[in-house]
Amino acid sequence: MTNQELIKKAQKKMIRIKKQRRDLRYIKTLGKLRREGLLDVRDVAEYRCHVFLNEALWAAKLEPRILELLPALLARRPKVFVCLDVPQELELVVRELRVGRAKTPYQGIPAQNYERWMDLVGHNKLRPKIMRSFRLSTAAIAILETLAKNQNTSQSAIIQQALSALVRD
Amino acid sequence: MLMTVFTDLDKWVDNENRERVEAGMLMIAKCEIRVLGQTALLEAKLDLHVASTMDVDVYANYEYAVKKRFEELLNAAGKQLDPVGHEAWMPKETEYLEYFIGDWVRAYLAKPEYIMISKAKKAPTKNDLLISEYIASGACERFFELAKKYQIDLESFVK
Repeated sequence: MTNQELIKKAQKKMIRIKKQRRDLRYIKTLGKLRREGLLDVRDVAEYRCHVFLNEALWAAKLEPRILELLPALLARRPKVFVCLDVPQELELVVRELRVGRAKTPYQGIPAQNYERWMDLVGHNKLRPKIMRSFRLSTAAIAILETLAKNQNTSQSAIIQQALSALVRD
Repeated sequence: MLMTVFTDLDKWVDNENRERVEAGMLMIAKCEIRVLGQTALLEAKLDLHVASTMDVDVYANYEYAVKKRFEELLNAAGKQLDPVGHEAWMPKETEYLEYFIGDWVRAYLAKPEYIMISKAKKAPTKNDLLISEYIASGACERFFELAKKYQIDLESFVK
C-alpha cells in the first residue's frame, strides 16, 4: 500500500471513529476523568454528574488509557463511577490490588502497568497499608517493643525502618 | 501548563544558585529536559484528539535537587513525573523542538512523528486510534520512512 493509500484508508476509519467519539458515553467518561484530574483531554469539557461503569467500559474501547486507570480507580476511589455491575475480570484485579498482590493481567494489560496508578489516583497519594501477620520469637518482640517505646513510634514503623535500612545496604 | 512549570523551575534554580554563591557552595549546573510521549503531543497543540494520563515522561540531565523541585512543580500542576519515563524508547534519530530556554533550564519537546513511531513500535494496541488519526491527518514523509526502517506495519493501524 502506498503512503497516499494509507492516508485515505486512515481517513475513512477516522470518519467512523469520530462518529463514535460523539457518543455521550465517551464524552461523559472523558469529561469525568478530566474533572478528577486523571486524564488531560483538550477537546472534551469536564463532566461533574454520575457516569456508570459500563459507560466507562464502552468508552475504553475508544481510549484504552481508561482501561489502564480503571482497576486502580475502583480500588482507591470507587465512587468516581457508579458501579452497579462490575465484570468478574475487573473485580478480580481490583481485589488483588486492594491486598497488594496484583498479578492477573487485565484486558491484556500487565499487572505492573495498571498497578502503578495505585499511587497516583487516590486523593491521599500514599497507598493504603496492607495487613500482614507474622510469628516472632519472644526476644524479637521484646526488642521491637523496646525500640518502639524508645523512639516513641509504632512497632510497624520500626519494622519499616529496618526494612528500608536492609534495602539501602 | 508545562511552560509555567519550566519558568518556575528556572527561577528556582536561579535563586538557589544565588544563595549557593553567597554560601561559597557549588552551583547547580545548567540542565536540559526533553519531554516525550503524550505530554509532548498535548503541548505541541496538534489537531489530534490526544488524551494523556497525568504522568510525564522525560529524558533529562538534571541534578537530584532540580529533579525533586521539578517533581514538586509538576505535582502542583496535577501531573506526575514518571519514575521510569527515562526508560521510554525513542528512535535514535529523534529531533526535538525548542520549547523553553531559560538561564539554567532548557526544555524541548520531541517532534510528533518520532513520538508516533515510538508508540507504534512499543504500544501499538494502546495507540491504535491515535496513530490512525495521525496518518489520516496527513503524516509527514519522515514518519513513513521511519516506519519502514523500524519495520512497523502501518496497514494494521488503518484496518
